[in-house]
Amino acid sequence: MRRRAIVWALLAGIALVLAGHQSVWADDRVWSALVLATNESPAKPMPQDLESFGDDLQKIFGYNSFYILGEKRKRVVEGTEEWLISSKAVFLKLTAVNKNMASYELKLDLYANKSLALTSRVKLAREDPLYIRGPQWGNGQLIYILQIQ
Amino acid sequence: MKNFEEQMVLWTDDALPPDEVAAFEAQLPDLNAAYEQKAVWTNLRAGLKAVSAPPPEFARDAGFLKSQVSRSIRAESREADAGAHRSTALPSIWRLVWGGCGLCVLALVMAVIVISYNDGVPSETQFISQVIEARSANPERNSASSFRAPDGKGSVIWLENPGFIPAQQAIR
Repeated sequence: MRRRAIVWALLAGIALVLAGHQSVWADDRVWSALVLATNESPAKPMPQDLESFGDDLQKIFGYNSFYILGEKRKRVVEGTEEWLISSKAVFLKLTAVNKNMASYELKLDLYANKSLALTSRVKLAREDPLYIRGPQWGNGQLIYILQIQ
Repeated sequence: MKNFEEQMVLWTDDALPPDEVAAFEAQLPDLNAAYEQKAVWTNLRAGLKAVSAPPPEFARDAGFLKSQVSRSIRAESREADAGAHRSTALPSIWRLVWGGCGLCVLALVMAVIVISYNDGVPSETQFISQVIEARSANPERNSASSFRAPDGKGSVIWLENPGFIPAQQAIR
């Protein structure tokens, strides 16, 4: 009786390990945001969702105020295309090409004014964001932020 | 008529009739040696009686002796049962076979897990977002480049002359 219990416990442990191995990727999401960056006096407070990017955004793009125009969280599935935060003027298409234990390989196409402006291939690692400088809009700059969460 | 050996035994045990004692002792070649031998036998017999006699408590309580004997028998029975159990607890050939098969399956599963993990062990650079390729769709009008963020967290695709969207045009 006790031996059977040990065997079942071992099998359950193995199943948990295998399930945990699979779930490493099952919960991955690509968080993307379309951000408008402007210079204003005084500077506007950083939106809560951008607080972890605030310093980098200011250093990279040189603006002091940021607004989130839209954000999206999508599950990443290999070989599928996703449109991230489509707007009337800019579109970003994401295709998951490959993945490994630490990062996703993505193909990104940026459309501005209904024409392809940029095509790129990136490896997007967890907690290491990707910034894409988009077109100007009025006095501000459109920026895409992508991060695996 | 008793022979000499029979008379000797009876004399040594003080069981020879008194009227025959004098006649028997007259036959003995060395009367003193015979008395010494009788004394030795008498002492030996007394010692044997003392040793073989039951302890006084046994004599007082026969139930105590019976309980001691029963306890000894039970103890011996328990030892015998334990020995028999040990002999049956030894693994049978089928248990050995099943145990071996189970361990083989366990080893196989563990090997699969380890191999699957090691197969995907990431290198250090895979924890960093990298721009493999970035190019403008219209090189005559704009250009694309990439670099790491100044503090090293994040990568940037920098589209030069990305175009302009009038403020009057709605984004959302």
